[in-house]
Amino acid sequence: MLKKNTIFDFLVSVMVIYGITVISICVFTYIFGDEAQEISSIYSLGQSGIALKTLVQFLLMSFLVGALRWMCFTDVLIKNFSIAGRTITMFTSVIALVGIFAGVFRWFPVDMALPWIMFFICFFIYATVGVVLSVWKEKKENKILQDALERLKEENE
Amino acid sequence: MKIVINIDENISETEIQVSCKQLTEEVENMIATLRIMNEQMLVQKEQDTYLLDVSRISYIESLERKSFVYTEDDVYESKLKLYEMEEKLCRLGFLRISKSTLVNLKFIKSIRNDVERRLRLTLSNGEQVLVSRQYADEIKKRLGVR
Repeated sequence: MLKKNTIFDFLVSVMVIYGITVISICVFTYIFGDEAQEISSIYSLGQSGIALKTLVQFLLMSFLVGALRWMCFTDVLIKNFSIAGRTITMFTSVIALVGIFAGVFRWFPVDMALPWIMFFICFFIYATVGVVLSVWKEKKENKILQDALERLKEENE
Repeated sequence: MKIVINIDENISETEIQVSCKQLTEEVENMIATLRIMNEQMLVQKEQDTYLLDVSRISYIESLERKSFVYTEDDVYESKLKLYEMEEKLCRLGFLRISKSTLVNLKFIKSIRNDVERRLRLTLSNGEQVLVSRQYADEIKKRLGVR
């Protein structure tokens, strides 16, 4: 039977994004918390923890990123678009979204170069790891499919 | 409709002869189905009718209640509905890839995953067709990768 995507699949993806974000920020808070306390609302409690309002902001952002992912990687709104195009749209939208959140919730001063550089470095690392893993998995699965196709064609000849 | 079967040991090749008062749509469909069994298909292009070898067909698509038959360089129309051809063509190496499309296996050059658990097939003329989610699982099963 055909398995349809449900609201629970969407909530699971939101929770995965939220979990990875919170774990990453926990690590950064432990390392840079005290130094970044003055300039960023994310580190307002210094090394001692993450503020509740920041956690809610991350949850909201995770919902929006989840919605962007749903929009970019299903055919409900965007049809006949390549996977590369969808990935670029997704990454560009996430960068814009983080920029808006950073400005609205004062995550970091948007006119300072260093926080942006740090953000892009982190984003680049996460995006690269994500893309490399998914491309590797995709290539491996496609090779299995292609080999199986060749075998079936040989059997039919 | 009267069906007469004549068994004769001296006949070298099986022959089907159709006798009718006039060539109705029902008779035409019956002949078209028999043609497929003979690995041939009656197709139309503009006003002309052609007898096409099934092995030349790359895929068949049903659009707005019409069946379009694609070869590598041409498009024809068939009077048969997709479901009328499916069973016989699948025995000749065709795969059902969506509610509206049948593809000839030998014309599939490559296969890869696409968004939403669908598959994307590239045919030998470079054309790409999508396997719907509903049929992707079935095709993977047929390929032995599930």
